[in-house]
Amino acid sequence: MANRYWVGGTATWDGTIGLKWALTSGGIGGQLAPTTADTVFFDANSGAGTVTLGTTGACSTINFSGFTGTFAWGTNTITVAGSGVTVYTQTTSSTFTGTPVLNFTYSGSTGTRTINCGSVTEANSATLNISAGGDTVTFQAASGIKNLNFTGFTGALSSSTTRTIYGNLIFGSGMTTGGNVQITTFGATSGTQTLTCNGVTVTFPFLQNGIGGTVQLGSALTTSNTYTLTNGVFDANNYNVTVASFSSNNSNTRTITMGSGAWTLTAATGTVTVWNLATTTGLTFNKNTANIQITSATSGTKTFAGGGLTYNTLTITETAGSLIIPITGANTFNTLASSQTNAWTLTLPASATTTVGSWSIAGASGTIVTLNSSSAGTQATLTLNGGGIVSSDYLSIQDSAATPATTWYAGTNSTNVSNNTGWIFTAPPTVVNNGNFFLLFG
Amino acid sequence: MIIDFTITQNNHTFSDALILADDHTFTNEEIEAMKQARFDNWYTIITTPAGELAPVDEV
Repeated sequence: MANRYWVGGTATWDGTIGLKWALTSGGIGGQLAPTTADTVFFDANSGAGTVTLGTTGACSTINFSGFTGTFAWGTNTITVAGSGVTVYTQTTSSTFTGTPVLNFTYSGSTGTRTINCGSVTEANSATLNISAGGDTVTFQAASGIKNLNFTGFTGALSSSTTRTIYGNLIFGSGMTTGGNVQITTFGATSGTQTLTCNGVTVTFPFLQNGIGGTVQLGSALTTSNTYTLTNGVFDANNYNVTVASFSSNNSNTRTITMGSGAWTLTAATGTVTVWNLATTTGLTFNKNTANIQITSATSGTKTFAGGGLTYNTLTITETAGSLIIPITGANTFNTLASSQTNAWTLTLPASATTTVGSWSIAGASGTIVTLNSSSAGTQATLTLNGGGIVSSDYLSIQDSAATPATTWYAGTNSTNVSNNTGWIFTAPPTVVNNGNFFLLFG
Repeated sequence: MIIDFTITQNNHTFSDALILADDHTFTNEEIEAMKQARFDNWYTIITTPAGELAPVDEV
């Protein structure tokens, strides 16, 4: 292994020797062009000229720290074969043109490859293809990246710093991610970015913040963390979306296209808003045919801030006990449903109307569902839309106005706590079908 | 090659995609096993308690 410092000024990186490469910074040129065994530097002593990549470049590692010139990639790529060290360092002081692509080819499983792209702009960002290896890859300092493609990589991505992706993010089937704090931001301001998890359960949060950009799923999204849509279009592309929580609570121009996949909010520990569309200004919401499920395997308060929108089915699946689900906003649900193994509480917005097409929430003996209002003493209104009746049981109801009249049957095992109207605390009338007409026995 | 698939078990529906090389050599049985593994992993996620998370600020 040897060092290769660019001292060629404005010239072309190809297979010729010339006076382009030196063993030391600002040294005398005349060394052979670098190979995959060499450490390549473009630094402050490389001049401010334009280096044109005229071939497929090769190196063990490459470092642009201090370089103030222009690196013209054209359509060529650089192969980076090193491992166990910082294999790529970019800088905001240099300019990239063309289509920068680096192919990281280490195929072993030892050590950590560190990548430091710097906080470069979209125009200066490079595509990183990490196509092999079972080692650890980590990003040092906030990094701007065009496409980040792990296809073929089976190691671990360590989330030590934030990243901004301006192109596609593709995880390699079999790889893992670590860390749950540092954010990956989708930052493109035009076109469509593809997020493909390839079966990988991501552990860090996503933030979509490119004004005018679109993020579209290339496979099911599963993250044990959060997804926040601040700007742009999120298109689930008919795949499942599984996140700890989903938030788009701002007034920016943005679109959510839910598609036909199942959306699951896994509700992190503690008090958390698992769905936050409280502010819908600037939001285009396409519910499509997707249903939402809140699966709470942890106790606590998990708020669904619906923003007054219309949803398909919202199902609360309770398994942890001591669960409170406040719903905010005058929302409409085609179906509001639940299942539980413990008692839990559903809190509807006071002085607002929650409209349902059907109601499939009922407790059971020993696992009562408490239905109340967000403001004690002030009713929350429940309206059944589309006809039919509601048949429930084992509810403990307080501050609830159920409409229309003679529709909401709370069942014989429910409790009329206080300040309720419209609820009928009996089982629904029996329906007899004699073949010609229906008889109702109240 | 993208293989879209949907698995429904016990009222849980999972829609995902397998992305394979065009010249892959997996058998149908192996592909079906991969689909099932995806479903099983997802089912574990949605039934396992999530840890406490750091907030992401809206802009």
